Amino acid sequence: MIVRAKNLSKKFGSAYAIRNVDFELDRRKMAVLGYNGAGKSTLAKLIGGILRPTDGFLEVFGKNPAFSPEVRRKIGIASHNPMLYRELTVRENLEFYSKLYECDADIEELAETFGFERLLDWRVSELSRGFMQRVAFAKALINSPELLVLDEITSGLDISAKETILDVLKKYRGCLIFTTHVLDEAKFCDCFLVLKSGEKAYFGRKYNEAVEILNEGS
Amino acid sequence: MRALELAKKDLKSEVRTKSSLSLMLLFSLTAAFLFSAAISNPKEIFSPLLLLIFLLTGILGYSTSFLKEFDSETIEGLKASPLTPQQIVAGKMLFNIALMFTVQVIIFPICYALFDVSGSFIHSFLVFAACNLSIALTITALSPLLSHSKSREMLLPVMLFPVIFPLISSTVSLVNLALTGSTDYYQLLFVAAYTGIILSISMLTAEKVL
Repeated sequence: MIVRAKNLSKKFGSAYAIRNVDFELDRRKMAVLGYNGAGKSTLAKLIGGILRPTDGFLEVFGKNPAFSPEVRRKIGIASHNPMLYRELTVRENLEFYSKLYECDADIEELAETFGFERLLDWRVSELSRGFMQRVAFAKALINSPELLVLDEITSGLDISAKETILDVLKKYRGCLIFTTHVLDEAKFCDCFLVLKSGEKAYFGRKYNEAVEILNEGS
Repeated sequence: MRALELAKKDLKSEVRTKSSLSLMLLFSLTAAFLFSAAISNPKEIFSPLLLLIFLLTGILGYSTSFLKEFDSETIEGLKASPLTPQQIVAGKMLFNIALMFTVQVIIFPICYALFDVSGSFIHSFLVFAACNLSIALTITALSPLLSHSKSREMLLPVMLFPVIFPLISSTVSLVNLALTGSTDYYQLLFVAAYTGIILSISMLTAEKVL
């Protein structure tokens, strides 16, 4: 099992962002569906090791990612926050992360895949939001992760950028956790977790059922 | 090694923006000129003035490298990477040590000349560097605690002064002695022990504060 969550909860102050969420994920592509405030980003950050659970149990590759650098080395994460240094160039950002992960990534090849090869020596502050997202996605793949966590990565992108990213995701062979509120984008996934107000409303393999449950009462 | 990569990244950013360095240099130069003009015989109180200038400059500058990571949310990238919280703190400390030495190399001789001080320059520079290092590490260790506070600029001095208090009298007497060419090794040992304690506490608490 790559990810195991049992009664997973995360509280900010007195409010629960995630409450008693259970699921298990093996080599699959899982879409986390939910509308704004459902807890998708919190779940992505918990799995990526950025946040620590308040209650419950979370294991990724057998350990809690927040406390295990070895586990985090196997995870790639990208979100709507690009986590890039604006004053550094695209190349410098990718080189920095490549050194942190102690991997020898081919930056030119990554840039070519995502179509920003001519922007490698531009500062991140000079990039449009769309290209920033592409670089952020490339950054998530820099360590050739076994688990890729993507949090609303396609939000605010134009159609061609979305297609490039979704094509890469469809070809990706590792385990994928993909949060989105755009339901059509999740169709290529093979299992679905629906979150409503931080709680699990559905976990299963049927897309239509997941969408139906998500839209119930909305 | 990863901590060193983080420090190198911060140095690269600083070379490009010069935000912390220019702020620190501008503030310390202004303070040095003001003190030299306002105080009739500043060389009599050289070491307390020096400490005051570097302490206030440090409050302005050393916390920014950490706080910038929180403000731009790049701290999430560091937390998601295989860096441990201790390596993140160590990386920030290494960067601030480099910043501290750069500021001291420029400002210390200016203060020395402006305040018309006579005495052993190299000796006092090195002794002050040891104390200044302790100040830089203490401020770096405290700054992530303030990352989520709205009034962090006000909170840092409030938190810092009680923590740094034991270092103040040692620094003043060590620099005074250094100007005459001698060293109180017990006081120097105290500064080293203080620095060691601050380093240990910041490493032990890194998991909690980040």
